Amino acid sequence: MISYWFGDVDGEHCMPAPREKEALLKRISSIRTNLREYTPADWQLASKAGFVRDRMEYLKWLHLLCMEVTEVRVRQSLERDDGELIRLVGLLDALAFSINHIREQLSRLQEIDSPLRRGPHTVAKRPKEFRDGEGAHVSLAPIAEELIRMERVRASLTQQIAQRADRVAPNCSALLGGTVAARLIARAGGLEKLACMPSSSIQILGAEKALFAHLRGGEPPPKHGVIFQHGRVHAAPRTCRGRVARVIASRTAISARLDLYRGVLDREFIEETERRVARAMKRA
Amino acid sequence: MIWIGNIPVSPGEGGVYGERMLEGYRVWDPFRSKFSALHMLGKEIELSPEMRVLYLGAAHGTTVSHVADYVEVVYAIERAPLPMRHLLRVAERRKNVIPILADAREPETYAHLLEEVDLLYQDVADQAQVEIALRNRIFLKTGGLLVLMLKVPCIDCTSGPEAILESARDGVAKGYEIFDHSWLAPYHEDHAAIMGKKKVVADE
Repeated sequence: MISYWFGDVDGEHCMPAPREKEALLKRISSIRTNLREYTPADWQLASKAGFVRDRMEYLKWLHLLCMEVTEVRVRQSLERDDGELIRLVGLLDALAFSINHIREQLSRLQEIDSPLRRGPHTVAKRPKEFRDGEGAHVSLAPIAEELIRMERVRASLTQQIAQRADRVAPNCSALLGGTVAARLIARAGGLEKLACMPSSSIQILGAEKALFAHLRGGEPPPKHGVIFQHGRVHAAPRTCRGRVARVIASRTAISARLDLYRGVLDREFIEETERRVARAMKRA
Repeated sequence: MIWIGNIPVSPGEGGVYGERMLEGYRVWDPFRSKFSALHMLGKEIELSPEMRVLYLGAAHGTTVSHVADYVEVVYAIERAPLPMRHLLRVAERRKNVIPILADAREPETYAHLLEEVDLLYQDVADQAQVEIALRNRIFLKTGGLLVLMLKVPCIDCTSGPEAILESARDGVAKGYEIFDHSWLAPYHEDHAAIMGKKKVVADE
């Protein structure tokens, strides 16, 4: 018996599939043909079995189904694509950079304006006080409001990146949190590149400057780079931070490979990692 | 193939990729499409309204759209999602283009969608181009036509192009009777076309 998109054919006999779109879509994405006993489909079998009236209808159905299946597959594979994730991380960095700069300039202006009320957050937190005529020479309120909006955008972008990282690399995200996982992937230049890295490289990704200072002369080696942003490393007491970073880096190396080649979350692996991190902390 | 003067064209709705129009026909640029280049070099492959075509390596669908102007149906296989996105837009307007996101190296993943075709057109950037032509031979009717656009640098960039073409022809000859071949210069560098007919092989 050979399964075609429109039905199962045994010799001259054709058992048509139900003519229902959802069922057919499922059917054509699941069939894998054994080419040893395969002959290309004969559309007339589909018409004899009453699946379609004529050739026109045959092609119309096939076109419709292939369009839909392909559309869905393209969308899925672009979602799993790490290229977009990397670009999103770049966008987030650019946004953060701008926010910090604007905030800095604003607070300096404010210092000139009213030296008694210092502190970097004042302008952005209370834009209303900087309306025209209330002491400011220049109206800062619109800029301060813009700044607040940008911060809101940054928060939502961060969230979106974490969600996206969850799909691109479910294991890394479960291990490190979506944002840190996304940053690591961006630093490495892609999930595939990350999966090819030894854990010692992953451990200090993002600490390149410190690493080269160490290699060139005298400086102590960096213990961690981007993964320092991971809560467990960050919160670990100084004495065992390096060890925790090492454990997490080595588990990240494995989880990146899981993500690349399997693409589904492995809970047991994550739990085991938790245990190992806890053990590394205890030995302090 | 329709010609206006010495310009190959195809009959159909324009605006697929910014192609020029000439007397209501779509200009088929030989510098963009290897199929058109082949015709410019005097190797005519006749496309007729009842033909069914399997097109491997459909990419953005530029050549596909021209072929679809001539034939009944084009089964367009492409494995990369980004160009497929563009191909989908082409297939939206041309109902005789069947878009399939699949790897031409694995016919078992799309065999259930195909029927017997008259022309197997292959333009894939893969080291196993010859192997792909042989694996997809199963969809071609006996005596059906193979047009293999050989991307020489994809196979090997160390040995000379002539030697690569020679060995590719020997490989393809296992399943096809090769009747012609041609380099596509000056339109496309380092590309050659191999044309053959499906032949009956003893152990099938």
